[in-house]
Amino acid sequence: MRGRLVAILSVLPLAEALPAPADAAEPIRIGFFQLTLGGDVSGSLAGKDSVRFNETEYGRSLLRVLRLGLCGELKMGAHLAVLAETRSENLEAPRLYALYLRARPWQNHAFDVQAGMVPPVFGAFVRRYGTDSALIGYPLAYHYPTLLRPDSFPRDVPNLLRWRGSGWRVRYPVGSHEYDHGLPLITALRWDTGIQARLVAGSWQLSGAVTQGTLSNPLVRDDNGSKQLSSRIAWRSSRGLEAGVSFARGGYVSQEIVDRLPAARGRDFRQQAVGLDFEQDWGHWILRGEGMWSGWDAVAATPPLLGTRLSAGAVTLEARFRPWPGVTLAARYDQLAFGDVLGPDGPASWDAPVSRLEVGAGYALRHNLTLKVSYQRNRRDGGSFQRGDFVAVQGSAWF
Amino acid sequence: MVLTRVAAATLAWLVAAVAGAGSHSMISGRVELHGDPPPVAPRPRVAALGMPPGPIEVVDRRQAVVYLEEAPRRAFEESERGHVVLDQRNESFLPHVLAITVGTTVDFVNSDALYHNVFSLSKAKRFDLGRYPRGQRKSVLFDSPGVVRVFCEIHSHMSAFILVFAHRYFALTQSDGRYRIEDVPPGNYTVVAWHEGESRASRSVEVRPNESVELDFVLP
Repeated sequence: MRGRLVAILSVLPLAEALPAPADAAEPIRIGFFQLTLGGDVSGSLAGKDSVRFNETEYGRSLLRVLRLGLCGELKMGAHLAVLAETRSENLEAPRLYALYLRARPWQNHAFDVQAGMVPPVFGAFVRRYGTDSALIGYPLAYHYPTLLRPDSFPRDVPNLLRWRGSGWRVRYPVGSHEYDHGLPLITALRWDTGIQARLVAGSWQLSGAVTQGTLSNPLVRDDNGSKQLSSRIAWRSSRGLEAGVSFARGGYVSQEIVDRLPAARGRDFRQQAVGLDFEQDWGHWILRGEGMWSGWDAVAATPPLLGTRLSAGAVTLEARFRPWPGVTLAARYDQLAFGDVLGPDGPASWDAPVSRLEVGAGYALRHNLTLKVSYQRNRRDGGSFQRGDFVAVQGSAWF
Repeated sequence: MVLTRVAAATLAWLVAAVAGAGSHSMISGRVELHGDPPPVAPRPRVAALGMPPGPIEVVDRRQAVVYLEEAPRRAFEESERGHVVLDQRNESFLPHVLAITVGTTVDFVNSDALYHNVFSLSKAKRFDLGRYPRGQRKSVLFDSPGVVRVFCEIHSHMSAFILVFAHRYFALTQSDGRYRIEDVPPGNYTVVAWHEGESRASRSVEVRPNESVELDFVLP
């Protein structure tokens, strides 16, 4: 028996197996209440984006930002919960990203109502794959600023076309005279305020919302008396396919601004959007796609631009592959196109079309700690800066 | 010279095998946790449009593993090639802790209507099974000893431990905290109690032929 081997615990290199609290949320219980907290931190670094292909409405590049997020859920019994998330970018004061009440009236039916600053029901990126992408950039439709602003308007078509390809810094003679960014098709960086409901029935999921702002311009307080109606119906197969159709319609212009324009009084200025999305999971592969069309009723000092529907379309295709444990490869192609208006030199798209190819790789040091590197190739058919190629790195962790 | 060494090793193995054979010695006892570990909840799903459609299993995290830190030589020459199941049900791994010997295959069954993606980045076994639907199972052979932490890539609150031993002298605690390691060859051992990723306590013990040793642990 002396021939015993020291089992070094031939067995247990325990250091790498941290206790559960390191990677799972342990709720704090206080009587009837249960509070669960979570958070994430990410830092992205890339060369200076002077050509503003990754600009956000907060005036910074998505490839050059330190982001801290803290989220919490306060459950009050089995039927009610309050959820909130705050985010801080580049160590600035945190701002509220989400705050709403979630209710499930019947425990045995997957029917939920949420009220407050709620996630969008339209599209898929924000809810489905905003966080698990191996890429660092966002799809163009979810952040790229177009020439449209909700508070400042061109005099006419030539005035609009003058800014073509410069939505990241634009100003017009009507309304606000400050330089500011334009509106994206749908913003992933702010959530709208209102009430929404979702019903899951077998393979089908139906959701709808009534909110203060629009996809482009979410609001806490309604400024035009026109609520946005949005909905999505989705179907999930048992073989990893989910497909959805979305719709949204709501006023996007401040009534105060409209009232200053005699020619615009009494008219509705709405954003309307239709979207298609799908995701197919297949082993180590995920294929995702989104297509959306958005039309805005243009505000301008005079016809014919006044009331013209300015349209834009976006297509995103993304593939993700995990060839080895902890390693993720991904590629995404984006195309953003704009409808024509009749300019001084004939028909022209009202903003400059943009395309983007991003390829990236991620490596998970731990299951909640990931390093990414990506290459992004951007092209814009107009404006002062028409090319922008970037290499970016990002570290991210969640707890 | 070589022949002499081989003969000596064979003789030593035979002596050890004969000495251990027929031993009915046992180490048993109870592992008491100082307070129940709190249940684990999913991280807040702020971007979701509602609660999860189905129930989420509340995982019992009280289970501990008791094992011999050292084991007789012959224990390392035994090999089991069995299969055990680690189920994915109601967005949880069931059981939460598996203890197996090297050479065991674990079948990861998906019993949920959702897709799951089991993976591990542990040094003892790195694997990624990809996404698969309800009713399918994927298998992994555990061929090295160590602690393997298992996760789901889609549902971050899902986790499990697989302890892979090079010998068979270990036991999982029952719901009442009792454990029993059977057929332990006589000798002096260090017995370790493990819980939720940490070796929390160890005690020395002498095991005599055909005797049972009662060994309790209180874990902080």
